[in-house]
Amino acid sequence: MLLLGLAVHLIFFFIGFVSHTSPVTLQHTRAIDDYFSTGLVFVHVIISVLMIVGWLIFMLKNNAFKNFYPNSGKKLFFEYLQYFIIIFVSTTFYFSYMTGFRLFINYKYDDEKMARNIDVINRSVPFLSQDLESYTLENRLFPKEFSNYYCETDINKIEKDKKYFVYHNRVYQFFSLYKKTVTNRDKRGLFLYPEAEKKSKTALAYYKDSGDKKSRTYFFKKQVEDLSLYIKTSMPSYINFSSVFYDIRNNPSNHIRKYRYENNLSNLGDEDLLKKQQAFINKETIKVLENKNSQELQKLMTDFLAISNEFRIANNLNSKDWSIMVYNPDKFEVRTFIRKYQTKLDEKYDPNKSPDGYYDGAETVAVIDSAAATTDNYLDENGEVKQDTINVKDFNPNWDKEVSPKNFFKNNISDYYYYTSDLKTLLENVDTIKNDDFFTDAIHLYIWIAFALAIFIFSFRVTDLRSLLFSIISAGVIILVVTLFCVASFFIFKFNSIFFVFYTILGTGLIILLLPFISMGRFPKIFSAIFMIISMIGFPLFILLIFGIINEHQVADCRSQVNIGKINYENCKGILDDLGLTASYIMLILSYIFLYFYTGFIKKWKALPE
Amino acid sequence: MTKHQQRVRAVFHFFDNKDTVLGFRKLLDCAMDTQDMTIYKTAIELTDWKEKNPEKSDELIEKCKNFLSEIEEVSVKEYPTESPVLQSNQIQKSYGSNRFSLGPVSLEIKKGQVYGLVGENGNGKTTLLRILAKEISHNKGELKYQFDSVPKDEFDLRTKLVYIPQRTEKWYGSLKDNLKFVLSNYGVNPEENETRTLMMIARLGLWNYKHLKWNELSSGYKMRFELARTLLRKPEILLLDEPLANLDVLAQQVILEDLKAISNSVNNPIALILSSQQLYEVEKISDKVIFLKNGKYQDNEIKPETENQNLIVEIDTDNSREELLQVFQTFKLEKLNFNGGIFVAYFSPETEFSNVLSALGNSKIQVTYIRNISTSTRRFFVE
Repeated sequence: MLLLGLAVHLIFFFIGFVSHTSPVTLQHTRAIDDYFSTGLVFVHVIISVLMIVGWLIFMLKNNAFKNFYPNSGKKLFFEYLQYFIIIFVSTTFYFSYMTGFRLFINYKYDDEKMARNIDVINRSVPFLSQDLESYTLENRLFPKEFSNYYCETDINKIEKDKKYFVYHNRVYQFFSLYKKTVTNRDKRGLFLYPEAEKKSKTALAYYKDSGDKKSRTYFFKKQVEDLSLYIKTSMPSYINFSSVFYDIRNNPSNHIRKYRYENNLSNLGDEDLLKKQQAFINKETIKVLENKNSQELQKLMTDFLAISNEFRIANNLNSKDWSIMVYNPDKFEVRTFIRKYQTKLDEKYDPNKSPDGYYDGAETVAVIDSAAATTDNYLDENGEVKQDTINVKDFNPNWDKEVSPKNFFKNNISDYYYYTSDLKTLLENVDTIKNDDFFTDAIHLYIWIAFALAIFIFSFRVTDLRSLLFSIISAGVIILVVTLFCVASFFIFKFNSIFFVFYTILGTGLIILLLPFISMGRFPKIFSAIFMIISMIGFPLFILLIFGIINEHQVADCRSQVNIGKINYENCKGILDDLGLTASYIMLILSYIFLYFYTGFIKKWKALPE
Repeated sequence: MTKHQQRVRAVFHFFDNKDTVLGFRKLLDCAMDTQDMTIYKTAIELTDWKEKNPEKSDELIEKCKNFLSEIEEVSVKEYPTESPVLQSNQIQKSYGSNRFSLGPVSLEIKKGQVYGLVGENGNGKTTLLRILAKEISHNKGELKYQFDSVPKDEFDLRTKLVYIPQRTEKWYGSLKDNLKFVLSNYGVNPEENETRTLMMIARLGLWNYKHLKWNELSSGYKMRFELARTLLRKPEILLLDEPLANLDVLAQQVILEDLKAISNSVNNPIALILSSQQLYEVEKISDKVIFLKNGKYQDNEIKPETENQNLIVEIDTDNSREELLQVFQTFKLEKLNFNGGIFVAYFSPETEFSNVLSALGNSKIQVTYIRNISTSTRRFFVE
């Protein structure tokens, strides 16, 4: 049986290895879940059921224990262990599939190669002008002045007498900043606003909370800085592009996310680092452009398209036409846009819409000409300035005669397309599959499935079907009675504490555990059998209950200290929080120890006359 | 001459008289007593040869005699059978108030003895066997077992009490595999397991059926399989519930003969209690016959003071009661019962059975069947 199980594991390993040989299969979100989404899990379930049923048919043919062949408690325990191992092996094909899958991804998309590819991709994507907003002036981060200064885009906060830049109805002004960090909170638990700035009404650029939420840093505007030396145009330009298309750090695996969550770390990663990377992309883009060498640009694009073809990303670009499209010295303004997907005949291109057959909303990061996506609140949803605010004409007298950004985008969209969302999804999938700890995430589910099935089969083997069925019915009745008792206690005696419920269940559990010992020889054999089976099946839950009670006591004790202001509410953690999933392993080991010793009792019970 | 040698000598006589059927079975009994794997292997080879060459009886006799000489050389330790292996003292079992109650039953049995348990349906035979096997509890009295090794616990005790119910459970796979499964549970190594299994198959006449499955066997062979399975466990007590049910007359005789021989082994005797409706057949092989009526115990050794030592004769005839009364005019006939087509005549104790036979013969009474049941438990049935 185990050999058959191992053979099926090998098959699943092979399926995992070959399932994603085509890069196209990695171009939908969460390819890591393909085992479930493609229905392979159903094949798994069917094979598992067939294997277990087949094994049971053979295994149930003989029963040495029931026939009173010589047996020891140890032998009985190892019999149970055999069931556990066989069921575990027959139900865990997922791990073999994922191991095969990961091995293939590690082999085909090895880290070194992918690092090179991502570098080329990140340096090429700036020239894939698929939206307008990424190319506007406020995006620029290089040279360092742009990183250090704050770009004000709120038309109401512009200092008209200082240097500002205008693009159609948008105004940009750069401010140097100074910061102030506060750690004190008011009565409502909110951070205090610096008094001096409140009094002097110094304009606030923005604020940022620390990762551990212990402090808040306010960034105040110092003065307007003139960056006209660097700014050749206020129109959308490739020079302004500063987005990191793909960064592995923005795609952490589940256990990193969990670790960050448990340690109160921001899930967004280090913002300063991200900004540095963005500035680097900006610098690289500017470098390529300012070399004024269209051949170099074309070479980069050729490399990018080669990678795209290897990854089978749908596009109709060629490096020659693309470089001509982009290469526009000295200002390198964006003249033409590339579609995110191929439109059908008579289909209107909508940059916010996902192409047919794609998960809607998969990629709507960059929203073209939609002011709603920006933080500015003076523009309406069409990107037009709201009335009753400041007059745009003060900044750009001819703005209403100019082509709006929205129309500019519409007028200049080319027939070229490139499925950037697919590229990003593929890269994300590759990293997710490489890093995701699928084993730790799923192992407990399979362990407990195997435990439960094995204990059911074992109970049936040592007793009989009648006892097993009666024990299931009795367990249901006991649960019902305990629930009714707790509810009745709540209404009649007003016992509403969670501890009352916990201790009632604990008491019931103890009685159930003791009943087989007390009743043996005094009551009918089936009576002991029922509680013996419930004890075996319910023991892990009994351990969990004890953990739960300890946990609740710890939390309750901690919260009583919160009231006197010593500890933060969120820091109240109990044994279950500390142990996490380790509790599952502890439960399993304790259940094994329990069963090891309990087999002696099972033997005694079996020897009882009817 | 040891008991083993005496038995071997007796088997020689069977072959001298060309009685190969019973002789071969007795030969295998002697071979089994040796507990010698080399002897076992030879016995297995001989059985195989015998089954393949049924017509070569002279050659078989020759081979058997040679083999017997080999067996005779092996020393077999005789097992002492003085102390009882099972003692029950006044055990009683009742099912609720005013319902069936069994006992009190007191009995003791030694290894090598065969006890028959008879009685009409619903009189507690199965209950008594199950109590003795500790399958069900009893209300009063005491049960004592005395095995070669003291059982470690209750479960260990149960492993030694082998009870075969009337309706045995279905088994799966081949007959041989099922037998091997038994020995594997006793930790017997694979080679010895194969040898012992085949030996048992040979002994119980299952040689040509060893690869068959449960549903391919007749009731008789199923019972033989159950016996083989049980005997491989080397039981010290064997409790059989109606082993003769569903068997034809010949099969009954053969199986009873086998049971008697196996339980009477020189070095591995078994205390055997079997229940049955086949009174005469059981009486023939039993050391004691226990009769249960309404749960009350009686056996053929008890001579209650109240019971006269009458000559009780069972007669099946087409003649009338009057004709019989006329024949027995000169005898001290106490009563003549007509019981379901059979007459039961009760004579005074001094009456000779042979005289009864002469009288019937002289009067030309058409007797289909006649039997002296004065000491048989049959008399309890016809009362």
